[in-house]
Amino acid sequence: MKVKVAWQEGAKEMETSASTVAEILRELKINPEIVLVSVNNEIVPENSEIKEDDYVEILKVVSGG
Amino acid sequence: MDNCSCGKKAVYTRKYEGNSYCSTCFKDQFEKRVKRTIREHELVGKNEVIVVGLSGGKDSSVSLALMKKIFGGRPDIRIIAVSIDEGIDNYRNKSLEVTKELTKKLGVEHYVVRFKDNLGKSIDDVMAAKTKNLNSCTFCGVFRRYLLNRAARELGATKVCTGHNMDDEAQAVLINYLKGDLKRLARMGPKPALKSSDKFVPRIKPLRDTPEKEVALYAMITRAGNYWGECPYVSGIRFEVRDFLNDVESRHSGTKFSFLRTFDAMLPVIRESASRAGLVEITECESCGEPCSGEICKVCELLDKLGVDVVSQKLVSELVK
Repeated sequence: MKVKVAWQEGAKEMETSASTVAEILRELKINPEIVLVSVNNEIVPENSEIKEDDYVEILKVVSGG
Repeated sequence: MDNCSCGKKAVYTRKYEGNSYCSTCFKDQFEKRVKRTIREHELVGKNEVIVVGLSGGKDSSVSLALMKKIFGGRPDIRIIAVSIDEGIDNYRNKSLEVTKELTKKLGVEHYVVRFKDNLGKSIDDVMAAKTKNLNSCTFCGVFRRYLLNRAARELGATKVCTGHNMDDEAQAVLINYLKGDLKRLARMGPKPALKSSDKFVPRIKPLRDTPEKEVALYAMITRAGNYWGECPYVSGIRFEVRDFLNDVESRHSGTKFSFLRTFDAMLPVIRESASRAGLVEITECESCGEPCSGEICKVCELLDKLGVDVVSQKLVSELVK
């Protein structure tokens, strides 16, 4: 399945076998504790499902100073 | 996907308690927790002047918005925002714009205190000079606390409120353990240590029981804080400790909570040990007269390293209009 993922250096399309937000984070090796995720511009919990062509935005929320 | 107990679509699941919340219920729960922290630790009393340290980041913005929301209607409580401008181009100048918008929106009196005006040097100056054995976070932290305390004192504050969240506190506890710093450990906790100085305005941390991720979510939902920039100079052990704690938390939910709770439970013993070892005495710096725990305060020590002779006698601050 293809989804669009925005993380750090802009948005890009990615091929994934993940079916939930948590699985996408695992695939990208991102610790869920440090991010909030929105799917199609709505903030969602990690167990939310993702579908073909979804726009997944990952925002780092831990402070850096 | 889970629904909130009210039936609406959830935006967040608190893994450590197993409940999911919609944005409205999350906001209510968040505010309840902060109010409980304030009540349980008696952080705010009657007739207070509370200076809120405001950087423009999510934590301090949420802290200010909540203090205003909770205490704004009380005629005996005055809330003032103070921003410290360390002089970091492309970072602090941007976040200061956010602070100005927020204080204007909330109707809060707001002052900006600059490193450059009061110490003669900005962080950018210090970093450009490449002074040996000087960590930017150490320099920045020491002077930020010093200027915030001085500003609060000159404004007649009875409390300084900061945006420290549960993650910040857990990190600080672990760092002090790792460094074997009993003196600093004894000064931590939900309420200020017993012995203090008249020149030191007690600090309160209403977000101390709230995880950083939840502060971020609250900031997004309420639009209280929308600056997410990162300081270009961040370095040091804190970031290794932060990653370690988040790594453990991701595999064992609730670790940060239990770590901090255990520390709080042990705090009387830690303070007792520090007291017996003579580590909690507050004296006055022989050079500048500010409160410190040795003969010379950290500020004077660092100024000496930087080759700065004197700090301005009168604090220079700008009232934001």
